[in-house]
Amino acid sequence: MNGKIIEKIRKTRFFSKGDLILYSAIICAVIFLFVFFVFLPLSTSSSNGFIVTKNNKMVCTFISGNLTVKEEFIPLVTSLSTEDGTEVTVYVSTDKLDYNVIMFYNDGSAKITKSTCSNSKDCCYFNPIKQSGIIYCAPHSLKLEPFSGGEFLPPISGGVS
Amino acid sequence: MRKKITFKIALSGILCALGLIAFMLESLLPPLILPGAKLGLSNIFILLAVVLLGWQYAFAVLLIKTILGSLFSGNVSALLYSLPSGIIALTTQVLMLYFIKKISIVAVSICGGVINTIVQNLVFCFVNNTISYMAYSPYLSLLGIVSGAVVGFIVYLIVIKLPNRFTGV
Repeated sequence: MNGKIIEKIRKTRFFSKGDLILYSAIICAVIFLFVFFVFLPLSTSSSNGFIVTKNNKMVCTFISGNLTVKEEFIPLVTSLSTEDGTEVTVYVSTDKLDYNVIMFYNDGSAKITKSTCSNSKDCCYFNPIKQSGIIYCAPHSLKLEPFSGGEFLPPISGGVS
Repeated sequence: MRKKITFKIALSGILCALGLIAFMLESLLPPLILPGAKLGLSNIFILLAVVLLGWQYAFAVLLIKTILGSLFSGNVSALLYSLPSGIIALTTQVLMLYFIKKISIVAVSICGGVINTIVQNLVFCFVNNTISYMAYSPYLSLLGIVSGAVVGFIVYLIVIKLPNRFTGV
């Protein structure tokens, strides 16, 4: 069976007629993703702040330059005003060994600038978000996303916390 | 017969080790343009396992490489996202290679790369109950196309250059 596959690969080389259908399907899928998950949310978003959640529980909000920390997380959150904006450190636990540093910039954007999560520290490489997008630190279960105020409703369905 | 099975087991072990090395080297590099985006060079060895050894050995290589890679890199939480996406992408590649007559290995690899990124994003959104992360999926899909093309091209070069005693043709 594998001999036939190897013969087929050697005969078809880089391109075959069947590839055209596949490539058009992929292009359609990518266009669909752009329209429904990038362009449409941008045109309908109206948030003026951000919310930080940990394990789907609200940690703090940053709306119109004001930081509001939920009571149970007050020992785990510190903030510092800088030239560029407000720097908020969210610790994972009370021993304060692991943390994420979130920068809320004066231009209305936010990003995670430092983290002790893993070797790759993927959360620090996200571009700053403004009115759409999400920044997530998987090892620390920390989420940063746009928020326009009002009551924070945790997800209804299960998921993994 | 026994010699053939022994050869296949030994070769799958080598491909698994090479895939692990590629995965560990990639994890040391910073992300490509977007967070979570990697070159995907370890997929070369998984696709080679499909072509040279068959789908059973390829799935074994994928499972071992993914589990051990997550343990060695210290990012065990990534296993939740990479394992399902790897299995679905490899299943699609195997079905395409075995049942579609007129298709090139480059197209199979590109398709696997795109499906891998989209499924990973979908699993992430399901686990964290947020659809917002799908905003990164079109950009990651484009990177998946590039990485899939590179992987497919390299596998093609290896297959045409390998001596027949390795390919059994």
